[in-house]
Amino acid sequence: MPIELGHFALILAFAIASIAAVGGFAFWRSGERIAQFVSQAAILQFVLIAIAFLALIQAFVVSDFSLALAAKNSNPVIPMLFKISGVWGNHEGSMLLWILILVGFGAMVAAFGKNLPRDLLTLVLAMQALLTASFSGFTIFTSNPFWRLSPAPLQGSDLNPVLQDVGLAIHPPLLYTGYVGFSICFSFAIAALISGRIDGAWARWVRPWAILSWLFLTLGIAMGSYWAYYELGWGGWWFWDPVENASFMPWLAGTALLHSALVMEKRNALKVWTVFLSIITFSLSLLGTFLVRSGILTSVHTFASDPTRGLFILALLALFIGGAFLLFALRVSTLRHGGLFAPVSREGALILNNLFLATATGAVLVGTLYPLLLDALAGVSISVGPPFFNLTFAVLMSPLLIVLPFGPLLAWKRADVVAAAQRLVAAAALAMFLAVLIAALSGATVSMAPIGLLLGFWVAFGAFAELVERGKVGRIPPMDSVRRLAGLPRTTWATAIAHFGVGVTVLGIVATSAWETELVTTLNPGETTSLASYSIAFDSFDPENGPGFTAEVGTFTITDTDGGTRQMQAARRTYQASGLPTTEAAIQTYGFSQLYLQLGEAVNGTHVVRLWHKPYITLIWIGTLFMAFAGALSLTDRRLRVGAPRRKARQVREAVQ
Amino acid sequence: MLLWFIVTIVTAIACAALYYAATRRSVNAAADDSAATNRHFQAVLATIDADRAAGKLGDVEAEAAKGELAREIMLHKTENTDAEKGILFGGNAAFAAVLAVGVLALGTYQLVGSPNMPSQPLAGRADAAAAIDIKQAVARIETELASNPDDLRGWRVLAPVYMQSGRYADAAKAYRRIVDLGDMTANAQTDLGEALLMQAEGDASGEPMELFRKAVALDPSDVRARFYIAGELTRTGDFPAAVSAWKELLALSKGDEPWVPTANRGLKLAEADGVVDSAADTSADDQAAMIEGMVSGLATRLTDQGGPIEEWVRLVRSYLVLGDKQAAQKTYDAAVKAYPKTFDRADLDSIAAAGELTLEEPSHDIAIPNQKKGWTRKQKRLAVIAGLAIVVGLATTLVLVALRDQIVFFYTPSDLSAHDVAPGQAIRLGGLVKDGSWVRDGENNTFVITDGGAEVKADFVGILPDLFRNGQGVVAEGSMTPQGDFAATNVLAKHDENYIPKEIVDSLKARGEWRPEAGAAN
Amino acid sequence: MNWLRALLVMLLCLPAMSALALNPDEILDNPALEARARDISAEIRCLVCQNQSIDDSDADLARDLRLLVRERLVAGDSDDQVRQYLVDRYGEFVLLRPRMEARTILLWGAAPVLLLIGLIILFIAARRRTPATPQSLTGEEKAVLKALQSDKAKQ
Repeated sequence: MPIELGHFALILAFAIASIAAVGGFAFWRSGERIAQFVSQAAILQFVLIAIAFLALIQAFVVSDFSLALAAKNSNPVIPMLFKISGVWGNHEGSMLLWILILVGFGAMVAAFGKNLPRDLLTLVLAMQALLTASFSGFTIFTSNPFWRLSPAPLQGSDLNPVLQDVGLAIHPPLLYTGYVGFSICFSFAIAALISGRIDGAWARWVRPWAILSWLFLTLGIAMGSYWAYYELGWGGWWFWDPVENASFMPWLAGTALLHSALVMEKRNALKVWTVFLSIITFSLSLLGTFLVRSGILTSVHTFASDPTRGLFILALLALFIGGAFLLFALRVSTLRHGGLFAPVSREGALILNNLFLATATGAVLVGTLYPLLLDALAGVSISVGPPFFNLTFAVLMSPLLIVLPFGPLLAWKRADVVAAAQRLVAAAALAMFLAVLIAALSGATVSMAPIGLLLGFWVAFGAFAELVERGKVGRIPPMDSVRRLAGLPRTTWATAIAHFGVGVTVLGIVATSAWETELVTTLNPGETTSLASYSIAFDSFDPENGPGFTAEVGTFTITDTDGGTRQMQAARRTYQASGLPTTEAAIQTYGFSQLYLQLGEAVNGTHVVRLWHKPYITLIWIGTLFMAFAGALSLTDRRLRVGAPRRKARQVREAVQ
Repeated sequence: MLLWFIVTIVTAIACAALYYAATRRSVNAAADDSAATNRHFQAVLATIDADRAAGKLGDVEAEAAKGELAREIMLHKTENTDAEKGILFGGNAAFAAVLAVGVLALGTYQLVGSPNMPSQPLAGRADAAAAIDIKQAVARIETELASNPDDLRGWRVLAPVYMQSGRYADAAKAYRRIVDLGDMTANAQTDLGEALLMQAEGDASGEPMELFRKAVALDPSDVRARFYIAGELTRTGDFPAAVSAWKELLALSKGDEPWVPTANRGLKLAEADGVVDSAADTSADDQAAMIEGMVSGLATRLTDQGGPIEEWVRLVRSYLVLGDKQAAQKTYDAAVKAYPKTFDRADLDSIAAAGELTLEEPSHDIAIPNQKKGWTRKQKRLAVIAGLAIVVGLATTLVLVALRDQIVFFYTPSDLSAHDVAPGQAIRLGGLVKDGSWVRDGENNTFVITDGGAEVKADFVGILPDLFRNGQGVVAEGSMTPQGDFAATNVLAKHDENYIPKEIVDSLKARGEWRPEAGAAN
Repeated sequence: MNWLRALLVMLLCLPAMSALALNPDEILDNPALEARARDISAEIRCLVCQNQSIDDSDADLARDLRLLVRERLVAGDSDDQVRQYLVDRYGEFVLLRPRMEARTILLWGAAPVLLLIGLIILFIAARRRTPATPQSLTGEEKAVLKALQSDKAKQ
């Protein structure tokens, strides 16, 4: 019965969302009453979907195989964590997770939206309800997680072994929170276009949601990358896989959006950009959903391969994306023009930033869809793989990275580039010195590496130029500097940290791409080999068993230059229920670098071992952590939150001193 | 029926909540609105001051920003009304809405729900059924495979069961099917060869040998295939070939595998040209003893310490192969005691059933999920062409159209006569207010904008700022009417006596009318 | 037949075999050729995998292709000839880096063209937008701001 109750909860939520959408759009000028109606509806939707989701979890946990989804994606012998995370390790369940987050955000807007103008609130919640109704309708009629099986089998199939991992528990929810969070910005944009009003107060609402979603998306993508790195076993961390691209494009657009929203909130400028980017970012999120689930692009992530689903999603996409752009074209002229600024100014620089990010998004989109288009129109099959994306993306991003440190130093409305440049001289000099030094010491044969290093250091050091300036570091006593820095608004710190994170990630990418070393060799228990000043001894090779799989485990001892030793274990597993094999690589972290070991099956009686030394590879993900932290920090800036007068006054006084 | 009862109650509660929310008396939200907005404006003002102090805004720019803020506030006041506009969302509408919710929800559930199916959590399942009938299970799978002969997994399940049950012909058929379905591995070849071999009761000549050789070609380390090859060569008396075959096989070993003694025995036999001596026989006994030892070792360990279900399976299988049904049964019973829940016992039950062992607890068949069909090429094309053409084409065109509007061109009256500006397109018009041209009637203002060369009649509904005077510089936002006049929606820049926008200065300079000393001439 | 059955018992326990990406036995002796082989392999798609190059993949076909690449290199083909050899047999799909030709012009050109269009639009817009340089605020504006600040002081 819990399953059926959950099923009904989903359906009731669908019904409420449908009516709220219709009512909200019809009566949005009606004032307080309709606002209350859709607010209540939003909260009810959340409660009901949560019940539905819990019903699914319950069925998986007790292994109720009368639920078809559980029978296909779970097994009694797998650990509890994977029973639960198996709920969203498939198409239907992940759709419900998506919807859960969607209604969750809607409920938050309803709960905290008491101060919003009534018509704006109604329109926003009506849009959210429309999204909810569409996607829950899609779920109920084509991808229902609540289908039953009779007679219920006794044995489940298995959760795909590749997905039986802690990463699976965390990666999709993080990612979905990012994707779906942008739906709020989208709804706000649509509301602004319909009502014809967009002002600083609107931006005040959009900016936190943009940052929040961006933050989760950053973490989700970083997690996905690290998970692929250690789980899939061949040491790569980014493949320009269509699904990776589908998450990267909203991230790029989302970065542009949050910068635009920032300008809108402060200077009431860039209104059209902000609305446009809100629509684009969420459209890319939706596009990502379509690309993955329709099965049109083959990928590790493909769940559905049913034509009805594909067409349904296509229709939804055309409705929302096409409709949004149509509305934009029709109504954008009603938006009042905002604050004026000179081309060379902080606003101008941010427009340039938006341009580059938008172009990068476009390039990735074209690259991802091109094989599909060419195949459909000309019948020719080509591949667009990492070589294309790496080249195009690097070339596009380089100018942006060069300009990046200038941004925070430029003044609003009209800026003096020369003055900004003067403040960056130290950072530039330091960056050049380090880049040349490292290049010379390592005798880099790769020609792009020193330039890449230079860019990375430049961005990383340049990020602190503003802090140095504002803290008057070196010009006043150190303690005074510290006090000044402590009194700086959090958004200033967040900017510096986020840009620093970008620099760190760039450094990680450059270092690992240029100086990674690899060794492929035959090795048997008792033998030793070496790579990059580490000595690796193959100790033993034993079979082992785990929940649901048999494995063969190789144990190795690594000795580093100081004589310290560590143990590594690499394995090859075979999962019983599905028969699928997986590789478990062994990773050891030394400082910021890693040793990565992959064990092969015995060939002609000897083992093959593939070993990498990846210098500074962890910087790639550490940089993203900085970025996410900066996002969170920025969210806590009380000045820009709704209704926080007192503290703000004190902070402003301190900042002014 | 309990389910329908609960469902109806839940629906009723939800609808009631919605209705109540819509129809209770309006709280005075207007006050909250303006307080929050005020706070927002104050925050912006404070930010302007802070930015100026931090050097992020020049003094002039800070003034401009404050001006923009002030205008924003003034406009906000005129725009903001709390009066309910449009169709009123009253009690009737609310009632209709919640009724629709109820109907939609209950109706859809009726359509797609399975209200009568009980939940079946695994732990609580006490399925009553007769004893295992492996033949029924196999027959069921066979029927499924008859209608779905490409189900590789089904064949993979059946084939070893056939081997266990001694149905070697069926096993051979199954393995052959597996190979036909595309399994090109050495394993598959060896499996098929083995089945044929057993079917022929140990005669590996002909196809089995071919298969084994193929397997070895695919995977030189395939021990089983090599074993059979060597064995067959020995059996048929081709001793030189047999010797080298045994030697190749033994070369693969590390010395401690269980099959090594047997291989050695085979090698000795071949080297001795097939002459069996009593010494060799005892080694056969040694061999058997060794196997027994290994098996009983496993058995003792499992009974004393227990172990994963896979090892129990291995043990039961071993006993069955060795023909010791009693031991197999004992082991099976112990396994059932160790893993009392059926679902924990993985494949053990089906293997036990194949070996005709008995069990107290009944159990069920294994279900095989169906595969779904994917997109066909044609469908892919259709979907892609239709979808992407609509989405991308629409998006691109509309965006280009829209962005074009964002560029607001600046014109002077002379420019207007020189260029054709479409009526309705948003532009900015700048010049001087022609002396004596300003007529005000309440909120309706008409005036003429001139730049010394051409003139444009303009009108504006609203309150013009203080400094709007005849003879002053002005920049207005708006659009041309079809009649050639200018309908202003905003009089943008505010000027004092000394300011004239750069474009106007340039334009006036070009005409030689630039008089810097001109004051507030009325 | 005893030993046959015994063997069956033992062999029931042996796990499945599988190959590994880039085995040592594939590595060429000539380091220059080997380096070229690795570079070429990194840009050849593994046809039976999801988005992997033959350099990374475990599949048998990937191994075959790796050996093929090395074979051709040893036979003296240039990098382009090796790629063409593969394209002749497997189609353009096998190249991960699309070649620059008529039908991929749009692909390679997309980024530069988009950037150019964007810059042009921005340039045009920048020239038309002139920030006004007003001096002091009007009396009206000053009054509004003062009211705002006294509101704040009251809170």
